Amino acid sequence: MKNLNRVGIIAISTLLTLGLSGCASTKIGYGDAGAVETTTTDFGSTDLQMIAGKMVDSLLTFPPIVDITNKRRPVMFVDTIKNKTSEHIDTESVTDTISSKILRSGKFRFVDMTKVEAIQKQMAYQNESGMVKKSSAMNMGRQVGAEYMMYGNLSSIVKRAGNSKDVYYKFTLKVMHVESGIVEWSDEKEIRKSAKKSFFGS
Amino acid sequence: MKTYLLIGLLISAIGLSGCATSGMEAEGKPTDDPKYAKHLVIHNEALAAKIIIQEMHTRTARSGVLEVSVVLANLTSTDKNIQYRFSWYDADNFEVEQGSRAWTPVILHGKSKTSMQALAPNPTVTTYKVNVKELK
Repeated sequence: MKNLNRVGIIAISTLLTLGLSGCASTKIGYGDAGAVETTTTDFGSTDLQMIAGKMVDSLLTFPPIVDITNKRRPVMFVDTIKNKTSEHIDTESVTDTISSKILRSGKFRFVDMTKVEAIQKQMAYQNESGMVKKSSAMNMGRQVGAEYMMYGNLSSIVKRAGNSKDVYYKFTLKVMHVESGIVEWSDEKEIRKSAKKSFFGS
Repeated sequence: MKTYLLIGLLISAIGLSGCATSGMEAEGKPTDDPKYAKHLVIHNEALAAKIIIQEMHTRTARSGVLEVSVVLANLTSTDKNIQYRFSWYDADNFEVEQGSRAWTPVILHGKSKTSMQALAPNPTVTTYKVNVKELK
């Protein structure tokens, strides 16, 4: 009798668990990648998109840059964007978006400094391994040097008081002429985000 | 206490559903009169009563790329949180760099105007569209 009771309890509890897990479902859907995202005050996708949009528009409309890029497509390389904020931010992702947009505008061309080693390896394979037909091997010493360098900073000021938080981001981007060291263009984008915890929702 | 909270929640839910996700849509070309958008489609009458697209200016930059400036005016005296997005079309009405533009949030202060400016992604663009909606 005791055993039967135990079996009954186990059976009921199993059924209950199954029933409950049936109710708790996760809904999965696709969202708009370009939608404004305000989940937290941390650096987010909207910030990245706003920064990239502003920087590309600013660079491509700056009159001296228009003059430089009118007849030819100068070669540029992207140096790092220093992350001076207290957050972990993938600044390479920001520069990737910016350089893609600039490249697709047809005004500049890029050399990718992150792929130098891979190219060296491939060149060595083609020219020194003896595996590749001489006539089809890429020649050494024919790469084009970058004329301009793109670099910048991302900094933030965070303030907290009671239930409210205010974050200010400043993204500065510059383009320097490699040979002369002259900064040809510079611009910054400021973003202010604030969060306030309130008792009544909304 | 509980019923009050429930009523409050219900009201806020109704209030939220009131501000629909759709907004206004305007299309322009360089030849258009700046005072009038070629097509202005209003999906949200309540928003259109508060915010209007006042001017639409276009010029071809020296680099041959279309530059657009759209002036938004807030008719109310309270600040409005809105978002806008430009989309670009070539001479054959194909969308250029589809989906590359994101919604941009902007605060429109009470009784003030603000201009939304953007540069077309490349010189093939001849027409643009701008969408404006409230930021939830």
